[in-house]
Amino acid sequence: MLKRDRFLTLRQAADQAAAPFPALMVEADQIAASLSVGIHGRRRAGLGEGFWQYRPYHHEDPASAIDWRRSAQGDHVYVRETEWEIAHAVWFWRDGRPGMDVRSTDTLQTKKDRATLCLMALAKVLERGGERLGVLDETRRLTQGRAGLEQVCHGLYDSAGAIEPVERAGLNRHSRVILASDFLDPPDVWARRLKSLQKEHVSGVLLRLIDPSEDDFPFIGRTRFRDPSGADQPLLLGDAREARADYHARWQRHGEALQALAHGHGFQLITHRSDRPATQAVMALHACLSGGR
Amino acid sequence: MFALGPLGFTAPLALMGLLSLPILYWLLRATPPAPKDVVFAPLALLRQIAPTKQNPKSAPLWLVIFRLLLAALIIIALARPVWRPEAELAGDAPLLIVIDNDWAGAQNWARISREARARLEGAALSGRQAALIWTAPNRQARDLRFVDPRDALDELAAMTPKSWTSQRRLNSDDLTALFEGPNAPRRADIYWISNGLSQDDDAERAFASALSAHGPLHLIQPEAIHAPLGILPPLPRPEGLEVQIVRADSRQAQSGAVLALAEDGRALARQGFSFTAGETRTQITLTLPLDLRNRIRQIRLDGIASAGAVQIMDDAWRRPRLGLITPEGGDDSQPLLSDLYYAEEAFSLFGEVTQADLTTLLESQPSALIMVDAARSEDERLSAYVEAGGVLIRFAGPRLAARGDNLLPTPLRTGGRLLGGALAWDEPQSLAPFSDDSPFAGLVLPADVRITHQVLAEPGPAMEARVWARLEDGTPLVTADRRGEGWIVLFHISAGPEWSNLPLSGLFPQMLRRISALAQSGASAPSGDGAWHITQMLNGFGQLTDPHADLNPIPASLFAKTTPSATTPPGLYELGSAQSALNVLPVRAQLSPLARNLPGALYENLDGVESVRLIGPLLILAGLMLALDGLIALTFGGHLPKLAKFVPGASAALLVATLLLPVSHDAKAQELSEDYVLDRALEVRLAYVQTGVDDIDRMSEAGLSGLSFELTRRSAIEPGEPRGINIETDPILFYPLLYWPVLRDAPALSPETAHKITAYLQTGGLIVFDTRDAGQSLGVNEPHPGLAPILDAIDVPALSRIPADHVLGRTFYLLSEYPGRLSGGEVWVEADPDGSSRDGTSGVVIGGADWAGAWAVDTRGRALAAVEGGEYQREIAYRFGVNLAMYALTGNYKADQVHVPAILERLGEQP
Repeated sequence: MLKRDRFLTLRQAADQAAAPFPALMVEADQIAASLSVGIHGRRRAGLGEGFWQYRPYHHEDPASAIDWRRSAQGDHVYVRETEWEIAHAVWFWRDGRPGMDVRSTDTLQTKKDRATLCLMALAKVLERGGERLGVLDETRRLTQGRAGLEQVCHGLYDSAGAIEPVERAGLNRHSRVILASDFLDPPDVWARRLKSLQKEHVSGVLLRLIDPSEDDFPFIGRTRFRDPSGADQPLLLGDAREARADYHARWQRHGEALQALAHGHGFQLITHRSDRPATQAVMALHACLSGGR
Repeated sequence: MFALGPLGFTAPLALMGLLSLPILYWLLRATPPAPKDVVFAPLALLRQIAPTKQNPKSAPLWLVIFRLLLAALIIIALARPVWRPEAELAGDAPLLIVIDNDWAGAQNWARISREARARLEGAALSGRQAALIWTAPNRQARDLRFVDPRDALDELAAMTPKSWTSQRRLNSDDLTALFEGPNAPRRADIYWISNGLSQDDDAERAFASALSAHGPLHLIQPEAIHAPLGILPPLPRPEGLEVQIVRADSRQAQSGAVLALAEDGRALARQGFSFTAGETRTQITLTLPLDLRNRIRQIRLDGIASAGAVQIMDDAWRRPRLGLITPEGGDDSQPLLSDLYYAEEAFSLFGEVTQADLTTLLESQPSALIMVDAARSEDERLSAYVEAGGVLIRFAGPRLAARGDNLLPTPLRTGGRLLGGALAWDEPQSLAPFSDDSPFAGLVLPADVRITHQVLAEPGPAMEARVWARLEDGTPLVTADRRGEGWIVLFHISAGPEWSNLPLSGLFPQMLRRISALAQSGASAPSGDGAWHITQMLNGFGQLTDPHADLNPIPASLFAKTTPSATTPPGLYELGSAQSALNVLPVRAQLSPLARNLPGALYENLDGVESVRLIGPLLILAGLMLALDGLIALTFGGHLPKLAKFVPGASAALLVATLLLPVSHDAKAQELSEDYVLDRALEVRLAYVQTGVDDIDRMSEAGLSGLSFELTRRSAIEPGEPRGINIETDPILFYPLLYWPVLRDAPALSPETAHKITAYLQTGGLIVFDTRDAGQSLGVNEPHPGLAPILDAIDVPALSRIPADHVLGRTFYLLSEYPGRLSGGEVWVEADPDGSSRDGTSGVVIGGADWAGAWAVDTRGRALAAVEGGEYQREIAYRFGVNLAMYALTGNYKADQVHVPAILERLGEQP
């Protein structure tokens, strides 16, 4: 029951985050319709609903393809061609490991919740654009439409978020993947994972979630740092303030390494602090998806 | 007792606790503060940082020192330190304290009792017995013996100083009784806490030597600046009261103030006084008019709580009660010619005049009786009254001229004397200057006083001495004679203006006032029998309190010689209706200081150094440090990460907020916001007064909207949206025109609102009162129950029906009637607009035609209410509204048009 409530609360928050994205508003704002995610013309004739061109009838065309209305205007018989349209497959993965379930103050969301929220909001926007969506977990099923969105949202929320589905993806070529995590594993580990995705011609976005305390390191005085999983020994610092500069340097380097890593494997990196509005992350994600092609 | 210089410790063993500080130091150094626990995801990154020496194993040194200091403070506090402890008494001799608890001690009572308490507490600590001797005699005898000091402390706490003086002769007896009692010790440590005042030098010497015979005598005296002060009975002077202040110790210059208080405690006068060094006596004059002087009930030294610093004023100082005898058959003459009238007017200037018949008056024992000719009586009781000390003031008249009687200072000739009449040779006479031995000496004679008629005294050898005032030709005008204890004074003229114009002159009341002085002095010395009962007693601190129930009355014959004592305490005494005061200090009293060379006495000053117990402050300081330590511990644990930033910021903010809060609150209450003012001042707006009845308010608003629309359409006035205002709370000065529908049950205005509206009218505002009843209530005799109180409250000049040529009928349209939704009502404006300060513009227009109803339109411009006379009347109503607005904005500008016909005519005359 409580879990259901929490889910509804998250859904509401996701609705709010998605509100700035009325269906095709983003598309209309873009200069090129093709830059927007969703059902978008491929600028060539194919299967689709939008008119592309009339061409003279070839005898191999079925009679049902003739546009009688156009043909009646003259002596020639024309066939109406529509523009080829295609919908993307977009996979979501949300890291669910213990490190994600952390927040520095009670007023903030945990990184996991924030990741779920951002992905849900993005899913809503994409769903309105008609994309096929799926959660990269054990079930691994692409869905479409309103009912599909519901499944995706539930999937995102319930997903254990294990790392294995990412490592053994086996996705369709040219699928897009959105990986939401704190990316605190060593950069070479992530390099291996991204490489395997790159081999499958899968590209996408890395959404890196940061708790403010990880970025700012505001600790002073005697502080005992504990591992979220509890597996590791805690670390006791006599004066955390003195460790701050050192930590900042390492944190900076880690971020840069991730940036280089993403760039080298056809991914884009979006860094999002959980004390900033979720809308920022969704907007950035959306911009990456629509502009990065 | 263990002492380090001026610092003593009453529990020095606790100081051993200081030995534990080194162990505490080691413990504190060994225990580091608890760390803060955080879950931190990028722990792996953090691990790469080498764990360095930044891990302190112990608390910082300054914190350790802080905590050691805290511990040391607590230990020292537990040792009960005393700063400058009272010198301990040698041996275990019991303690004897002699305390001057008379009125002079009252002045320093707080110091005296503190000193005594300190001594007794010391005795209690060292387990010695103590005894108290009070020098002021009490009515009940005390059981004198050495007791437990705690009992003596109780007795000290219950003692209040007495308002009479010490009797040191009796004190020697007390002393003897004390040391001769059973189980009495032979010697004692003796402290005499004195008031610094000498009563009787011989008695004091005897007492001091008796005291010092039983042990060392410490004589504790107040310092010179605190030595007793006293106030002597005031002396009347022409300009006020002369007050003398005396003091016992003349070594220092000193100053203070004298207060004169009325019955209700109000200060009537305050006058500073000062002593130079060496002076024991100073005098000041309280300058007061007689009226105020009569109301004084007490004269006292300001800020000095002692019975000697108070003089109670009794009957002798009050307005005399004068009885005006009314004629038996009633007074039949006209009021302004009546003798009674002039007598009462003149006497009531300085006395309480009661008009009644003789019997009633005699019961109330007035200090003087006034008998005009019409009230003449030869009653036996009258002569008895005069014999007993009363004053009888008589005026002559036709009855007295016809026949004399025996209540006269001098025999009279029958018939009287008429001067300046048609058949008389003599001119009317004026007054001769008053002789020096007359009570009227010094009064200035007005030149125009003429006597036309008088009764004549029979010349005789005794007459000369009885004449107080004469005419120019030497005939007596006022004669007086002692009769028994009292006086009979006869004016040889009538009290009214028939016989002379003296009663019309200013001299008359002055003469009467001089005579009534006799009555004052007479009242304080009533007959010799009876007894004075005390009604209010003066306590030692100089406050009037209820007397003890068991005080005996003082026989009247002894009262003058009575001095204050335990059985006859100072205060206010009463005999019949007379009141008399018994004051502590009599006339010409002197205060002298206690001799400095009393045998065997060691002199000390009261109020020397006082021991201060330090345990309280030390423990408070330790508590504060403990709280601070808690904060520090929290900071170290990281629970208050922003403490350093937070604390000064927050406290500064709190301080500023505390300082600003009342100010900003006031500012808010006083000032209107700028937006509010701009909204109303930048545009001309009509306004209506909200009645609280929704229908009417809505109609008023719609009416003014309609009128505003028509104004914009027809004239140069383009008003904004009308505003509804709450007349009690909203400011009205922004609006040129105020439409005020008045209900029959309209609430009355508060004074502030009335003031506001008056100010609004004075500054040129126009208020249109509308009773909305077609004028049914205006013009009839019964006032409109809602409007009348409003007009009463605000300052509205006289009103009249609007004249035919009033400017209101021509400010824009030419109108001869002013209908609204209803027609036929009358319109009232200020009757004399030319006389007003607003340049001839009427500030109020009052009618009952429900103009707003005729003007009212809805949002689409459709009329809301049906008008009696159809659309024509609605148009006229609009025209009236336009005229009103023009009138409000232009005032009498269009009044010039009154002359237009004449101007046109003149133009027409030219070819």
